[in-house]
Amino acid sequence: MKKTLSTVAEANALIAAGRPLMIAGAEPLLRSLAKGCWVGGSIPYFMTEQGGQQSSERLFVTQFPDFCDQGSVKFYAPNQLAQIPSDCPDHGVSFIVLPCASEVHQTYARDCSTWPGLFDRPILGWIAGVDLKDLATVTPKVINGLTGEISGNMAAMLHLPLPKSVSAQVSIINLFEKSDGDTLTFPKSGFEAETCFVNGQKRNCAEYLAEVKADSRWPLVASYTGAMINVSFQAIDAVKKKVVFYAPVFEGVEYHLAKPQADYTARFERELASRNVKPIFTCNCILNYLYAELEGKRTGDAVGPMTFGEVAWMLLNQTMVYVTLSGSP
Amino acid sequence: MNLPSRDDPRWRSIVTGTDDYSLENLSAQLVISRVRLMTWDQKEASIEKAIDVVHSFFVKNAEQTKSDLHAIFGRGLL
Repeated sequence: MKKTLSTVAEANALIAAGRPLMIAGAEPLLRSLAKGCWVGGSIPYFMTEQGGQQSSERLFVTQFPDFCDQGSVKFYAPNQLAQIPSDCPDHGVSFIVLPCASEVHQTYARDCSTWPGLFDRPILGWIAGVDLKDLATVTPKVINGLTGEISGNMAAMLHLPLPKSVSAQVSIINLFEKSDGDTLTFPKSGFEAETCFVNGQKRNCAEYLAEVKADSRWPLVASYTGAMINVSFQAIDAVKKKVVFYAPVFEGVEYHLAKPQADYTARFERELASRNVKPIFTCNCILNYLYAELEGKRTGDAVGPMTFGEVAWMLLNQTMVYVTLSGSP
Repeated sequence: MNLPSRDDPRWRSIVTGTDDYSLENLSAQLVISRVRLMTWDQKEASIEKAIDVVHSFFVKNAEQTKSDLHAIFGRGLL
C-alpha cells in the first residue's frame, strides 16, 4: 500500500487513475481536487513516515492494494445514517468521515450502535477537523469526490468491496488503561453531563472531577467486553458545573478515569511492533498528537491523518484505528 | 462451523451475562457490550431482540470470529 503526503497535482494524478482513494487535507486543497472515486475530509494534521506534522499545502492520500479497484462513494444526511449497514458491501470494508461538532457527527455517535447490522461488516473512519487556531471561525468539512459536493453536515463514505478470498479486520491501539479508582456511571447518554454516579452515589460531575484533581488530558475509559474504549474531556466547566466530552458517555456503561500516560511514542511503537501488522489505513487522534507532543515524532510505521475523533463502528477518542487485510486475491 | 441454534440458552447467557471472555475481534467485543446494554431493562422483549442481534452477528461473521466463538462456547461445545 502507498500512503503518501501529496501535492494537489500528485493527488489529481491518482484520482485520474480511477482507483478508490481516501484523502485528508486542508479544505482549500480538497476543493481543488478533480472529481473521482474518493472521499475526503478536512484536517491539516498528519502522522507521516517522517513524523507528526501540520501542513496546509499537502494532502494525505490513502491508496489501496491493486485488487481494490472498485468503490462506491455516498453522502448520508443525519436522517439517512441508519441505512449505512445495508449499504456496506457483503464482503468488503467501509470508510466513513464525519465533520466534527455537526449534527451528523453527534447523531452517528449517539445512535450508531442501535442500527441493525452495524457491527456485521467492517466500518472505520475519522472525524474531520480544522487547524486548531481556526476552531472559532472555520467548520470541518467532508467531500464526496464523485460529485464534488462539500458539506459540514453529511457523512461521507467509501464502500470498498473485496475479493471473496480477502477479509478486512478493524482494530484499535488504545494505550490508556482504567485506573483502580472510582467507578463512574451516567444517568443519561450524551456529549455533556452534569450528574454522574460515583460508586453509585449521585454527584455533580464537574465538582467530582475537580475534587479528585482529574487531569483532563486523560480520558474516561470503559471496558467493552475487554476492549478499552475512551471518552475524552473537552471541558470541565466549574462555573456551569457541567462536563463536555468529545464522544458520548452512555447510560449503563461503567467508566473509570484513565491511568496517567507517559512516553506515548515508545509505548505505541512497542505495541504496534508486537502486533506485526501491515495496515492499509490508519488514523490517530489529534489529542494524542497534542498531549504526547507527536509533532516531529514517529509512531512506528503507522501513518495517516491525526483526527478529531476516530471510528471503529463506534466513535472513539484518543485511539488509533486501523484496518488490515488477510488472505490473497 | 456449526453455531448453536438461535434457541440455544447460551445466547441468552451471553446477552444477560457479565463475563468479559478473552476475545480477539473488536467487533465481537463491541457487539456483545451493545447487546448487554439492550437488556439493561431486563424486559423479555429486549432480551429476545439482543439475542437476534448477537446471533445474527456471529452467523454472518462465523469464520472471522472463530477464535472468539471458541472463547465463548468452548472449543468442544460448537
